[in-house]
Amino acid sequence: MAQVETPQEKRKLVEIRGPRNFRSRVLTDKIAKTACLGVILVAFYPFADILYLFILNGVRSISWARLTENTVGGNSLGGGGLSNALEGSLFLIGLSALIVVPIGVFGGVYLAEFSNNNWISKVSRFTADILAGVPSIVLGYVGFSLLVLYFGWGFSAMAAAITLAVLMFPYILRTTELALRRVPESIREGALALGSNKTSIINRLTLRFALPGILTGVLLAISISVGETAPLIYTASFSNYATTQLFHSPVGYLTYMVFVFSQIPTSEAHALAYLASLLLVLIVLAINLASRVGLRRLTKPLESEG
Amino acid sequence: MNQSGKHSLRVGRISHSPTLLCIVAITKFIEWERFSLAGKEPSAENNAVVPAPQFSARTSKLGDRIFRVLTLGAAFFVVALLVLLVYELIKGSDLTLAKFGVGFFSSKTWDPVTQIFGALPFIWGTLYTSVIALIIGVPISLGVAIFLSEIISRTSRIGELLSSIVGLLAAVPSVVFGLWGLFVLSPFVRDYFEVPLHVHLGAFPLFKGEPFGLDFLTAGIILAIMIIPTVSTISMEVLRAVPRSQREAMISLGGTRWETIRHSVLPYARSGLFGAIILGLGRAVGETMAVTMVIGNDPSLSTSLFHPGYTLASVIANEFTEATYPLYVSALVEIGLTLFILALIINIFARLLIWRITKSSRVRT
Repeated sequence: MAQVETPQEKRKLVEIRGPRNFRSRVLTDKIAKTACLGVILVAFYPFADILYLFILNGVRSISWARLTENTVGGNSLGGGGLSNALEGSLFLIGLSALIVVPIGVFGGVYLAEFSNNNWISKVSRFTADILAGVPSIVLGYVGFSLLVLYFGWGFSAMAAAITLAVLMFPYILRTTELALRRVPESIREGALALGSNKTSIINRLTLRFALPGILTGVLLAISISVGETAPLIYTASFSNYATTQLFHSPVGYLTYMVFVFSQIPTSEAHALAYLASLLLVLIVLAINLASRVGLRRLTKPLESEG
Repeated sequence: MNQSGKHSLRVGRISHSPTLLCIVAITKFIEWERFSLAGKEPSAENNAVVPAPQFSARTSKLGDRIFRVLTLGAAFFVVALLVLLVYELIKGSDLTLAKFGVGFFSSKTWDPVTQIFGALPFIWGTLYTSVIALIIGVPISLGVAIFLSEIISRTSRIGELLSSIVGLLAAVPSVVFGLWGLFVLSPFVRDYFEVPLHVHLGAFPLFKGEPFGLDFLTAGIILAIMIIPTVSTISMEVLRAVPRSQREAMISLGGTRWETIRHSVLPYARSGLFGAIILGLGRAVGETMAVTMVIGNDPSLSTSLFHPGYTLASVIANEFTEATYPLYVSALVEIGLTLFILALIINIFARLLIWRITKSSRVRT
């Protein structure tokens, strides 16, 4: 850092900082930098502690029986295993992704390719942002009132999956739009010059180039919905048995076990809660890492070509 | 908590067909949009914003038309969903809206036995814990964002690694935080913060009462930890959107790194950073499970950090299964409506702020 020399520059610095000498300014700089580093450590400590706790206790409570048996006793006892909850969680994720991905991607295609930034797309984008900020417990209530009671589906996989789908919808919509917008314009122009129509340009070209981005969005939305509890309590309820029925039969899921079993004062229930948390953290981390690594691998060819 | 088949909810009078209404509205709308845009050529201004190639009438066939309408339906579906959501919330809370009116928000009694419902303790709990979360979480988040986007090189491997870890942390499920809060944080906070504070400064209203560990303070700390990834990720994006010339000007004047950050980067990014903080507030307000597990669940208006409380979201999560008569259910739905409105205001405000800075930076760079 050079010393200030001309009177003009000096005056400027004096205006900003007041008359201070070089050494104290450097000292402030160092203190501020160190403080930021310290803050990083403070910020990461809880997360390190969380990982440590769940890896330690989760690994300790891994057993074949807990992983493969069904839960015994719901709220009061808390024993057995969690295979029903694991299967239920995966079932719900799969089902909700199946429902929301087509609609979300279609909506994203409209926003990026057809809308010309008209007022409909503005309203839709704004609403998506709002919907993404709606507390998930509110979505849970609406799912309960509409799907469980009004449609008469009862606590069921379908009611829960649709509620999760609503939760994921805005994310998928927006990431699809962003991914499509990042596709180079020259690709569309080239296809256009060859006389292809819009539908085939989107289906054969832009969607393919945007696929990695869209997949990342979908995976991130899935990882958010894996960790949700609030919207499921009143739509899926809980069941001690794995089910593949869509209607009229409650489903178990991992987050419920963490929420309820951690409040039951037996060590067996706590072991299950820890194991369920470990599985949740592992699933979420795996999805996130997969999306990052997959994204890097999938975007490479596009970059080298374009 | 609930178990399968044990629900005894009797929500009265659900004799409407909102979905049917919505479907009709959507189809009408799609038809209208299709015809109104069919003959219209895109203006030059619109083309500049989205430089998508336009097609002449010759190449745009029936297939294109159908595809377009299908995608439009999907895009507009999000609006329909939100309308449906608001409709359901208002419909569900009609009993309490009629019985208590505006007084619902200012009444501090929540007594299901005598059928008197007021939302004030929950609003207070939500705001109190969120404010604690912001006081603790914001300086830390900003420090993280400044360090990762300004102080260490962005392209360095460690910087990239740390940034992606921060992004990863945002995805940790909230019940996991709740479990950690219940078993680790709550005893820790009680033994190392609350008991000493209570012993030495117990006279202050802030530190009154016997510390249990399940209270406003623990809930606020958990929320602070949970908003850190959100706020720092968005803040990093905002800081990255600050044009380079801003920094270069300060460096050319001989400013140190910190002076550059303090006097030219932060003021420029101010509104965007504010938006990031408000979005963090939005997350704190809507957070349900982790808070429910550590806040103690007692509707109170206490100003003491050591008093158990209740939030809007956690009362819905906890009491919905116990709601045995329509008025009780309706009161909980109105709590949901309150929460929705609160989140709505916060989100709109934040989006406007962030939108302002990222828009202006896009023009400049």
